[in-house]
Amino acid sequence: MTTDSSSLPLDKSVAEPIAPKRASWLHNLRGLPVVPLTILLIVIGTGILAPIIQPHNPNEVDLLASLRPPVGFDGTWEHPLGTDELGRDVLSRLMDGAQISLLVGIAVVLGAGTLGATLALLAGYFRGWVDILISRATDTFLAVPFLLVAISVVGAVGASTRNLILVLIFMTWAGYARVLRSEVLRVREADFVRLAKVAGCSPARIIIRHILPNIVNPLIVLATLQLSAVIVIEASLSFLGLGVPAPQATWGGMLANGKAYLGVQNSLTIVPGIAIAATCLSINLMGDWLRVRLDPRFRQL
Amino acid sequence: MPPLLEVKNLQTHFITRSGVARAVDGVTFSLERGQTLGLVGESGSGKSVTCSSIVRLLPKGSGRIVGGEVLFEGRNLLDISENEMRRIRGSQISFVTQDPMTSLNPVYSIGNQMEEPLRYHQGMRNHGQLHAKVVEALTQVGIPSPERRVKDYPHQLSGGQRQRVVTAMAIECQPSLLIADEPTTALDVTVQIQILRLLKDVQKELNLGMILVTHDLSVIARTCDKVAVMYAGRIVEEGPIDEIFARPRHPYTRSLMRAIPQIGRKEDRLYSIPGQPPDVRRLPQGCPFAPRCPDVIDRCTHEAPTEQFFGSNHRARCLRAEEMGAS
Amino acid sequence: MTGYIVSRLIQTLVTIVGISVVVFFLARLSGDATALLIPPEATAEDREALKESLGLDDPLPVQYGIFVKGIITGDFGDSFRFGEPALDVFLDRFPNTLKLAAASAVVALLGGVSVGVLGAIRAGGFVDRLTTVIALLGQAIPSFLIGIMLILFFAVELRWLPTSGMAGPKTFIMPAIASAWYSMAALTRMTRSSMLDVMETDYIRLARLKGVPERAVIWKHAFRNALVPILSLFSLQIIFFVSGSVVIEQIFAWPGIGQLTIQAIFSRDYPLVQTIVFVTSTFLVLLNLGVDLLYAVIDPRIRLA
Repeated sequence: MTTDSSSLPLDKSVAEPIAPKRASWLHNLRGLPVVPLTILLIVIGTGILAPIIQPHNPNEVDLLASLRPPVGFDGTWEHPLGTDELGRDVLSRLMDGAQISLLVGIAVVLGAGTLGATLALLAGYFRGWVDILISRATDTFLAVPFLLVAISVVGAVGASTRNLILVLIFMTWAGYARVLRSEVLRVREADFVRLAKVAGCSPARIIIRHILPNIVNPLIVLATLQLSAVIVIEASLSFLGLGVPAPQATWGGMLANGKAYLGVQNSLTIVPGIAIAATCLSINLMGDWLRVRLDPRFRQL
Repeated sequence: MPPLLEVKNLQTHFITRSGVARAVDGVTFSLERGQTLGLVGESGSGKSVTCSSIVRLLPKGSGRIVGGEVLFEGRNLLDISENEMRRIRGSQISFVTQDPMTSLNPVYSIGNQMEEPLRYHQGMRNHGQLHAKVVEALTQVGIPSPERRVKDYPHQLSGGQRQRVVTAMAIECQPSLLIADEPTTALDVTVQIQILRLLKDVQKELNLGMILVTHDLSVIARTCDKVAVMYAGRIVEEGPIDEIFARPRHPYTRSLMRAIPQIGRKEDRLYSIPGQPPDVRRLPQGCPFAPRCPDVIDRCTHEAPTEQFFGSNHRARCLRAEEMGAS
Repeated sequence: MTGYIVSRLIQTLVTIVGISVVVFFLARLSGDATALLIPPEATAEDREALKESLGLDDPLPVQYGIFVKGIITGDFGDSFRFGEPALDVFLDRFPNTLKLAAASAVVALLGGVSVGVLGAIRAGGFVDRLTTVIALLGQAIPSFLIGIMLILFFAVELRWLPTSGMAGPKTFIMPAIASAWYSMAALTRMTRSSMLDVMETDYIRLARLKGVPERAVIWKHAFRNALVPILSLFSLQIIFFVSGSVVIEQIFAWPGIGQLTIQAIFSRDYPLVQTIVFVTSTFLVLLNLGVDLLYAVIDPRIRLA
């Protein structure tokens, strides 16, 4: 599209080294964001251990104890974060919500990452019509209003945790495919790939042994950023009532509930709100850190 | 009447994480109207930083002029306000930059960019007038069919043409000093000669003072009246062109002259100066050229050479300058 | 230039076809399309008639052909809930969504670009650090959370703004900010880095050497060049404004297509859902095409190539 790319500020990655340097693990941990990591470990820990450490059954209704405030706002340690309109324990529900967020987030990122990376490898390596087909499909999926399509699909297939995961995989693989394809195109021109071709390696072997290891770093960085995006989307869908169906507690669902009690019991919105914000912020900070560590293009910064 | 430009003991430092780089470390020279000064040296010797310092446009943050004076028509440019300085840039002191391929804004037409000095320095607003002026300047620098070129965008012009445009832009406001910072480095050899000839013509026609920065002594020989050789942020030798070429008094100048490829010279290999230019963050004690000097003596490694004068206008910074001229 | 337009047009057409395929399968995902495409109270005969007209017993390509024919003739079927053509119901609500999207776009663009430029020209300073914080929060805090927090502070606690609905300029403020939130952060980040890149170039140096005042250096010379990556990001963000409307409209009870979609899904009004998804997507793709052609105006290297 241009005859003179020398003055375009966009093409800085062209002459970058491809093979990542290996350094000791200790060195790699430099500048590790401790606070975000701690928050994430708490979320993961409570999510996994929820059934054991929950102070109450998260779905146990106790109408006599409804809308209790959290500790510090006239609440008691009986319900540290208060109770909702049905008297359910907010802390216990928050732990259940963490479980769902993590389950959906990780499953979707694994699924979409695998699908996206596979298609990117095929498109970038074989070029030709395979590339055209995959690239056009990628464009289509990136061009549609994501949330609108996602809720329509969920509406059509019915809301359940399994369906939610499948729909979100179906809707998010394209982001990986777009970014990783250009990585593959970069790597496949490298000398060691040409050498492998000359040496008579099969395409499958070249893709798996030579190209894949070189796109793992951007894949990890991308997956981290996507994880927080997926958690937000899951929360949005649950907020709309199109995510994981009730009575299962989800952060989005708790927010939707709480919204009706704004001005009556604000903690019902603020508590799950803080949970979502803190989790996503922590994942993003971890992602930024990983990007600086893993992506050679950002190393000079 | 004061000289057009007088630079006195100019010092420009760069504050970096690994120490203070004395990029320009006590540079002194002067220039009259109608004169061309060649500023020569390897990259990193401080030529370009000297020029940037004259108009006070150093990279933001790290670069700082820490001492000296820049007297332009008797006025110290280091004392005036930024706004006054801006009004001098592009009107009284103008620049021809190194790489014409990247020096023109890709999204504006040639005409638009050429009108700017006229708008900002002469307050010209009338479209017809601006257009006429721009066409006139383009004609002056030998651009064919300038009427049409005005509407063109930079990417539609060749490198040589672009450098002509940059030159035209520099002379539009009738400056008295023109600084050309390696104006031909990025161009093809044949085009280089054309651009040098153009700069020389323009300089004569407008009776400009000109500073020509280059790392190529053969360019200096063709275009300049006097030459200043820079090494590690200092001028190590300065003098009239024929003096310097006939009796170079600094071993570095002599090395540079040996490095000029010449037809008919019977040498198997092109000479190049051994070693690397010094790191201006950690200059050695004594003469900075000593580690690479073919004529080094013991004294050089611990005694910093002072300037020695030979006649009224030839000076060199070498302990052995006296004997060098004799050989 | 013509080559560029033609290739973009073909690309756009392919994408629209892709969208039609996605929407086509949408109704067939649940297994029995008649269950979705017909009101629950319909009789067995109605069901058979629909099966016939959609050709549900035919092979998929034939069914798809019938579907495309409907799109081309503007016949998207009737909405069960409203009892009128789905397209009319959609077009009735679409302007409300567009108004909100436009307001959000203005907020995002003005906010993101001004903060980003300020951050770039004062790199390392206080404003710059503020941009980093804004960019980070924008990425991490979902827009619906911002929306609810805005309601909590400005409507419930301070009572400065109405909680919801669409009536007059005041009602635009909170939904527009909530909807612009994410994009504003992304644009801030992009503007900052794009401006920093451009400020390093030789033509900016030459502009300064020419004595161009700093304000013109920034806005005329640098900003125009930084604009291309900013706009390409912005054109991607437009999708978010419309897509995100689903959530924002639900929070603020905004009578646009986002709210309509939710209602249609919960009342199983699938002809309407299909219409909304297809027309909105196509609209966005065409909008993107428009933006791409706009680049050609901004950057002569594209225009004259």
